[in-house]
Amino acid sequence: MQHDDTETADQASRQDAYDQQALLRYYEQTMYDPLIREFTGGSDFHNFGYWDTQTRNHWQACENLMEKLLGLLPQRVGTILDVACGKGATTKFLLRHYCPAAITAIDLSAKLLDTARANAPGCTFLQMDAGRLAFGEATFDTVICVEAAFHFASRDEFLGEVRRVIKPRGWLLLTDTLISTAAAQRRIGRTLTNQVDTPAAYRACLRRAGFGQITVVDATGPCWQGLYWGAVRFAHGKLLAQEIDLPTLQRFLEPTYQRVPDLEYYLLAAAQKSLKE
Amino acid sequence: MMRNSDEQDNLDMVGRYDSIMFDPKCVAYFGGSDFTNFGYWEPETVDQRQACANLMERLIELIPHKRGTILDVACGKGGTTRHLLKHYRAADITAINVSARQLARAQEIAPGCDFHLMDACHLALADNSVDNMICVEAAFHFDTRERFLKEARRVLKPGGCLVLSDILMTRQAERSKPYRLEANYLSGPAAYQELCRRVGFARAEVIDATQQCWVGCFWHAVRYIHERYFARQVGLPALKDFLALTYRRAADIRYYVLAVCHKRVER
Repeated sequence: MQHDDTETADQASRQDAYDQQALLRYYEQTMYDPLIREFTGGSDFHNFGYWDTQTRNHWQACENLMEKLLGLLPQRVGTILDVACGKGATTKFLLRHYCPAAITAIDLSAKLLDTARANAPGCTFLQMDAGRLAFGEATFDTVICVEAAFHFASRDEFLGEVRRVIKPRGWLLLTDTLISTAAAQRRIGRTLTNQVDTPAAYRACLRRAGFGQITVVDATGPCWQGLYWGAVRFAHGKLLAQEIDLPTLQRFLEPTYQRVPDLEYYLLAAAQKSLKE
Repeated sequence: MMRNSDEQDNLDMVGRYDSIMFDPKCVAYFGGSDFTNFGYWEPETVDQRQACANLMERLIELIPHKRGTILDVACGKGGTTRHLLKHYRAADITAINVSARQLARAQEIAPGCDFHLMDACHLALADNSVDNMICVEAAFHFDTRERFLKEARRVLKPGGCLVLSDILMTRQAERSKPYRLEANYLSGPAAYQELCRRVGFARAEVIDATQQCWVGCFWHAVRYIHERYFARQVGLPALKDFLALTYRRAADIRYYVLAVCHKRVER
């Protein structure tokens, strides 16, 4: 995110809890935390995942989430852009369906990108803000963005950019979380300029940005509730085995506990670029 | 004889248990059952009340001859005593406890049984007077467990048996925790069995039920309160408050055992 000297009303409204640098530092720290690495099985996935009755751990849940999301795509062809790729576990998963030359991935963090490059060799990695995509019009057949759009300054701005860089009849795949307005004012890396309250409003947001063939799936149960129990089971199992102490358990679970009063929906979405403006 | 400070400790402990056992949150957790035990958890066990009833069944099935009289030692609010009515006539059941408040509740829910305010280590009962005895999750508090086992052996009829469930903590916890005694420290089921033999029981079997009882209870408590927190029925302070006891136990408990001690048949 670039910083202007002139502070507009719009920027002022983003001052709430929206501090992108603080957010980056948070992710760069937590994504390399040893206990979190153990929870993720060293997969470098840092997503909620999709937990069903067969899911035994976080890694499986995250792969399952990628399968569910890619399953919303009519055909896996051409080029794909992975927006906010983190440590590149999502990018690496795309290699199951795409060749490296067809995959581009972007993230704000140089540190995370270094890890991502090692995870998905041969793919193209670029440090880039999702709100200002440095790509030409109609560059990609598909754009995928897993659990990141809630941190953007504005989904509308992001969707406008995605629509521009997607080819005609190209597809956008998203997983996203919706939180209460009160939570949006308080939480780090959230801003009211990006507030969407309901799945219906989310669908409207996609339509407004020029997308059709919209699918919005409420996956709050398998994704959010699934992660909640996965994290609770993991930490309490470690405590019972005396592998961690109580302060460590509480530090590990605190972000999960804090989401409980805030998080309203976890959504999977797919939408196709409409031909008309 | 107890020293004065020990008597005070005992009164403190009774008061503490009274306040926990009659706390509405505790009553709700146990489904209003008047049980207050860890229970015995199997895959099909759904709640704490069922687990406690299941524990009673596991203990009672260790008694070879479920005939004659039975003494329920440290009966709490009488959940265990009431369960004995499934297998015994009220007239054959005697239950003792050190809390008058708990005994009053026990009398309500197990009518017809004989209740006495009595210390498990000083049984006001004649030698060879009881057919069988049961003691659920209490012997770790006795001063001492060894003394209780000797008393139990004294009042049991020849051929009778004592069944009990008991909790073993680390030596550090036995030494430092309130209402625990370092003298009661036992390193595991083998040491427990050795103690039962040493006090004069002809035969003793000690079963390691740590997984079914303590670990089962741990996971149920974690599940129970996290479900309510996720549903936004309780706040985070209430979750942490509820689990504080479970977390302390996780640091201290090493074994949960079931035991059956047989008194020699006289020739």
